[in-house]
Amino acid sequence: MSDWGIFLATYLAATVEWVEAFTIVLAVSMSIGWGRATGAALTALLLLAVMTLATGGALSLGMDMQWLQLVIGVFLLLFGVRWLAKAVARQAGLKALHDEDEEFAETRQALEKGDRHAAWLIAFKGVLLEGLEVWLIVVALGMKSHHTVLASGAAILALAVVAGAGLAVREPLRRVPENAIKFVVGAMIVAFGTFWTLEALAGDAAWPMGDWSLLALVAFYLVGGLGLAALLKPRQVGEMTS
Amino acid sequence: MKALFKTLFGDWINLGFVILLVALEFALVRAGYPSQAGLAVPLVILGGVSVLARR
Repeated sequence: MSDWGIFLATYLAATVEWVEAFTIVLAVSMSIGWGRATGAALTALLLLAVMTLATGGALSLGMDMQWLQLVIGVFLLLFGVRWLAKAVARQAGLKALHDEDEEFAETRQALEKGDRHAAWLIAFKGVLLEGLEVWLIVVALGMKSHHTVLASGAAILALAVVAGAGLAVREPLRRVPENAIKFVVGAMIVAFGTFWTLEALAGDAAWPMGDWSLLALVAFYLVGGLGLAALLKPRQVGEMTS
Repeated sequence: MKALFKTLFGDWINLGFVILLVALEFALVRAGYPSQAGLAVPLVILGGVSVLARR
């Protein structure tokens, strides 16, 4: 489970972030051309690659494994809880679904106020901020299990798929089922975070079923999240009066 | 800076919830209930997700 779990969680999480980054780069490319917009995106990606290499090396050298596991677990909880809550809220209809067309329009509007330099910076910052989440997930999921290469590969594969699809259609990738992906990734990341924080504090005593507990946690958060979404769905006026 | 904080921690409520969660794990483990923590913590997380989703 662990290898596939890490690959799948990283791939899905990275797909969501790269889709959002692509929308920004696409909007910027209409102002300053594909060459400059891609240059900004590649600069941000290069910075993220250097950060992944640097943090991967530093974390594996300098810290006690138990503390490292706790820190990683906390970051996974910070991400996972947020993603799962957002996915539940959107599934329940409490929050609007993420709209790539709206994101595209907002970026285009921001570009109207600035010059070419500002446009380049918008593309750079957009890719960097979306990529930071990918970087954290790659480092967090890869480090604990010594699978940084596997997690990095999943993130790069997601980038290639999103970039390929985006360049083929040359419009925002609105058909990606972002909320469904966020639901699954949120449940997986919260499960990893729960498992690792408690294992760091209590050792094997916390999880008598070992790695199988991880599968049980993923299933619990998925089913629990779907149940919550159904519970939180606002009732229709007609249903309430009848 | 604000965007970086949001990327890393979400917001103060999200950050506060996770800190409380780890404090709860620590307390349960210290009190000698590590396996019970494995059952209680996921339920608390789902409760927290429910509150965060309604904001």
